[in-house]
Amino acid sequence: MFINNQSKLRKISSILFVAALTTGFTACDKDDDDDPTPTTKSSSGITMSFKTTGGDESEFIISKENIMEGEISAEGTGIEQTGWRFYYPVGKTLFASGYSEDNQCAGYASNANGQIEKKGEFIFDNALEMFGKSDDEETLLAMEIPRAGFGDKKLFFIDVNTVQVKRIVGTKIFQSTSDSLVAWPSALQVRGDKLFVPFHKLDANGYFTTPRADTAFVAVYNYPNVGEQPEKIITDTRTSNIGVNGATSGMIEADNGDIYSFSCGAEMAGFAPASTKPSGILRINNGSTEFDPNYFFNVEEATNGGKIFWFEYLENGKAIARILTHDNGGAWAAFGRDVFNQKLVILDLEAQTVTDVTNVPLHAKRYSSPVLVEDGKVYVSVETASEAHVYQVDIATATGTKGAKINGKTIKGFYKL
Amino acid sequence: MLRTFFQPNKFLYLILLPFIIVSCINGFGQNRNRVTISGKVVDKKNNPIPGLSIYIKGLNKGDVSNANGQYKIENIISDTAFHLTISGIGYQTQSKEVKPGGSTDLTVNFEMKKGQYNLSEFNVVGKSNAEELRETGYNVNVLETKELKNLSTDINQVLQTTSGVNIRQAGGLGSGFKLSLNGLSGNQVRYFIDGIPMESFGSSLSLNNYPVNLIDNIEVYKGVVPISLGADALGGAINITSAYRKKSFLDVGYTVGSFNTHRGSINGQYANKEKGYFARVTSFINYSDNNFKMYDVPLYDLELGNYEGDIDVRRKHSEYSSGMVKAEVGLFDKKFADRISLSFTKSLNRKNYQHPDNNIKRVFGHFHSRNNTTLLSATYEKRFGKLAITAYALGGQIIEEVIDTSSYKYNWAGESIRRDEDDQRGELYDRRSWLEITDKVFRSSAQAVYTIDQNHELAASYSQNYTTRSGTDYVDEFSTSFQSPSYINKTILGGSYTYKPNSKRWEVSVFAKEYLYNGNIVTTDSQDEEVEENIDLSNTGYGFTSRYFAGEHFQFKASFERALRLPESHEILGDGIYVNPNPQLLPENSYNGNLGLRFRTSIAENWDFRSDLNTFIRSSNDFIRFRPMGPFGQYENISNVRSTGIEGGFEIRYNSFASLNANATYQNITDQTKKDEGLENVNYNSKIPNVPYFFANARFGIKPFHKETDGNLSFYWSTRYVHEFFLTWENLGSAESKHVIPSQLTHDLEAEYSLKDGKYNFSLSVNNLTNNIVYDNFRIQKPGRAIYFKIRYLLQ
Repeated sequence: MFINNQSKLRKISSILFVAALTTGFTACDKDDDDDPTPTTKSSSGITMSFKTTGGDESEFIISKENIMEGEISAEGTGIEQTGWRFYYPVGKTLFASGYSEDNQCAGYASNANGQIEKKGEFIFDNALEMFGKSDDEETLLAMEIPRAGFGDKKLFFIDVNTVQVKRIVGTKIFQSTSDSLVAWPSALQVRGDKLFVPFHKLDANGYFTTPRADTAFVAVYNYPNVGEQPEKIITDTRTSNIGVNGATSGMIEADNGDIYSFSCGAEMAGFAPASTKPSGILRINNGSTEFDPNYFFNVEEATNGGKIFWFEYLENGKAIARILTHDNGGAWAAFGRDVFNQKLVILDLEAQTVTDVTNVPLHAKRYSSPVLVEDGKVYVSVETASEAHVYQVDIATATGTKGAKINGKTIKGFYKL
Repeated sequence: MLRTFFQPNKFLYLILLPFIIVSCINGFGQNRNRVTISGKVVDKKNNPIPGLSIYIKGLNKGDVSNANGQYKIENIISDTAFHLTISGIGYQTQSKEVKPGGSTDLTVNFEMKKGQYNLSEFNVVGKSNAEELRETGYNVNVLETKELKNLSTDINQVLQTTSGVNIRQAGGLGSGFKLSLNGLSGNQVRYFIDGIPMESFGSSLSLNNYPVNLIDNIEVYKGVVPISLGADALGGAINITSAYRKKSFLDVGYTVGSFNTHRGSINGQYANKEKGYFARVTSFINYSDNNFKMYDVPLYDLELGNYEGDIDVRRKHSEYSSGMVKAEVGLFDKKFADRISLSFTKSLNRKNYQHPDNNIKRVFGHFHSRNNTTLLSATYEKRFGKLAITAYALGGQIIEEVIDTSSYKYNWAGESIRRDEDDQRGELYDRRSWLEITDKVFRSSAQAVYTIDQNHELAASYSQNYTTRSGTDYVDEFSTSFQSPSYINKTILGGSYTYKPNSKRWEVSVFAKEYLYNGNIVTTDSQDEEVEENIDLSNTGYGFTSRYFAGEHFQFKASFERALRLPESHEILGDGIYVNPNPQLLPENSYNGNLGLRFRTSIAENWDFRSDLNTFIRSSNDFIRFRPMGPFGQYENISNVRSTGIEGGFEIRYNSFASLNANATYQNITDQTKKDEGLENVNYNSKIPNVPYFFANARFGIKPFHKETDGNLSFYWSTRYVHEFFLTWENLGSAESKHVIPSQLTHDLEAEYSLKDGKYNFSLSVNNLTNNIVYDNFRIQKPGRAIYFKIRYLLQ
């Protein structure tokens, strides 16, 4: 996704060791046999995936009791990661999956002494860039997505307790060699005996152009016996391709089993060409495998609305979302730190209303890991042009409270392990 | 494209014009005789005195008396009388007036009287070239390879032992490496061979497989680089030199050793002094299985990728082979040239990779790379009285292939499975590929040095480096890397002025460099339209060097340069795919300062002691880094780094019986970037991660039974220490979880036996005597204990 698979020169540089242009993605963790298992001080409190500033922007898994006051840093604490990682929680296990040459995924959980430690690891060939989980939270789903050409995408089934890969299924999701189109999945949503995989249709050249941006596509598979082909592909032309590059929450499931998907279509979110359809939310009702034709939450045209860049389910039919207040920042600008036009909102999925979260400034956020909801509150990390802070959002009242200062670049996610 | 390259450069004409005029007046049309002056230097008891300088002021010619007290100064052209002066530590300086008569050679002998060292007669000419260079104002280490030619060493292994230099290798013979000089590394350090830039010469010519038998000296310029080495050297320059000799010789060596290593080298020349021509061949051949043992490497299941534990295993698929032949023919001592030559170089290599250089979790069974380099060059040197001119031109083609075509997947246990039909993956890349990148280079340079008189000297230099790169992938139809043609042309102009007073006690030199840079890339955008990117920039660098002799024993030096590294082609022009162009990209720049102290003394005519101490600062800005924006991105000037440090070394010799030398380097390299994309950088002033900051070397040699001719036996013990350092920021993360590159201490032992005054030589080396597990990089192991045996034949 982000920095991987650039020009071959960069790959050659890293392998031939001749030019030192890229920051070095590195070798593996210390092994359990040789050294004491690395832990953080305590798992009570909130665990966070923390990224520091400068140079290689190293990442650490840290824990802290009070994240609303003072400062958060990795000074002398935290489990050191070997590079940029995706973080995905399943129940009380946190998976950290690497990128580029850091081709390893590890699972972390709290041990008998209440300390976070590594439970297991496995390696993969191509970076795992999309994640999901089974209903019973015993299986992590992860998918390798090679970007160019017509090869298989590999879906991994990982046992959450042992952190062992049980099975790998290869599937193309969708492809058309005549039109030179391949699928880029934007969620892995399991519900009952079905797996829903929304996707973008991308040019097979691997340049992330979206020639079919004006329709929402979802591939529907059987679960857990995921086959090489989906049962069917459902479409909806009211809005654009579902999901955004790098976000795992193209689809979310509400308490009542309804599935909601978001579509963005903005140039700033990487769509080229941008979609002409409004950005909004579709629904697949509980028990159905088709889009609900009577439901379309047109977020773009709603009061306080705009193009949705990310969302996550909270509780009681509410979701938290980031909305782009405009789409004039340029291609992929929502992934950078030059344009700060994302605002935090609470969506009422049933009432179809958008409520701005108070006290949270406009910011830029390129990647978030799934959110932690606790006692009617949710935590986010908000980075503006010059500051990074934790914010606590009260779901019912959509009020934000500024919390601790982040002595670093960002916190990718908050977890309770 | 060519039109832009060949455009006449006005600057060039302005600078060279005065020299051209002067040379016309001085050089041609006069019939002059060349004579040789030789003789013997003895003391009152008629014992020969070696090591004294005999020189001719104003003509810049001289010699040093050899072990038999003899000296010879050749090629003296003079109509008028001149002074022949002899001086050296512990003896009274003498000067004799010499009147050359016609074309007869002269003999002038000296009988020396002991006396106080007279500074006013101090003169650099006549010393060995290496010592001369060490005494200049540059912070320079000159490594003489004479003592090392019986051992099987590469240039990198020698560079590794000098202060300020740290080389990190990813394996055995031929493996990838990263050399850092006072904290600056990679393409911030430039390499030269006899003054010709080695940039892009290909992996087969890189210094990790280039034997020391083929060269004489290695000059390491730290932070401040003379204008004669025309390149954008931000951190410094390394120049490997072969002394130009006008006699025939032959040096053939062969090494066999651990890991099925076989290495050979030939360095031979036929020179005909009467007719003034020579033919030279240098060649090397290398092979190694590199199958050293790896300890505790992780084993993962081939089907699913689950971790199964660590194993110890001998490497496979790590073979390296390379070969080079360079043939040179030329003329010397002609009217139109002191030396002119033409040479042709061909080199090849093949490198099998067991794993990527920075990751041992991924294992290969077939992945490899190949290089094929062809170079043609011409050099020219001529001295016209006070003006000396040197020039070279070089053209070449360098092809580098990376082959990732296997459908198999491997692990450390040597197991493999075949991937599915639908799996397009190679061993490293997500699509199988066979990428061939071709660079075509053309370089030229002209240097002029004009000695106005014994106090003033002017120099000018012009260097140009044109590179065009193109690529093809024979297997991956979706790869368009380097299919967009691009070229970069760098031109560097330099000028310097040097002053030294009559006493020659001190010397100051100031210089300026102008960097001119133009380039072009043509790509196609997503609408299949052609897009052209052009750049045309200029930048200025400047600096000074100075030195001062305080008394007989001490020398002080200070030097400074504002140095630059011009952006690489893909950094500024993009690559037409994932890297966007950034025409606003500035060169990386650095303010480099050095302060040095040298000390030397002899005690009781048996002990010789030398030492040097240097402190340095490299205040660097605008380091170019890739800033991603989703899957795309561009290179920007992102970070600032400051490196300060101290390095020092000493050498003690007891006659020719024993020697000890040691050095140590401490460098504090910190992140000086205040903000990271607008946010306060919490690691401001912290030590930059993943860079070693303290290392030391020592070498002890002993020649227990010293004989003049037959049967010389020597033993050497070398040791190297690198202090531990961390993969990420030192103060972040819990202590147990930190990834550390542990401290390294390795020892090597060597024994050498020479017969017939160095004609036949045998040596046995044991490297990494204690079989330590050695890492230069996190978890990337290097070979354990290794034994090598070498025979060498030297005819001179």
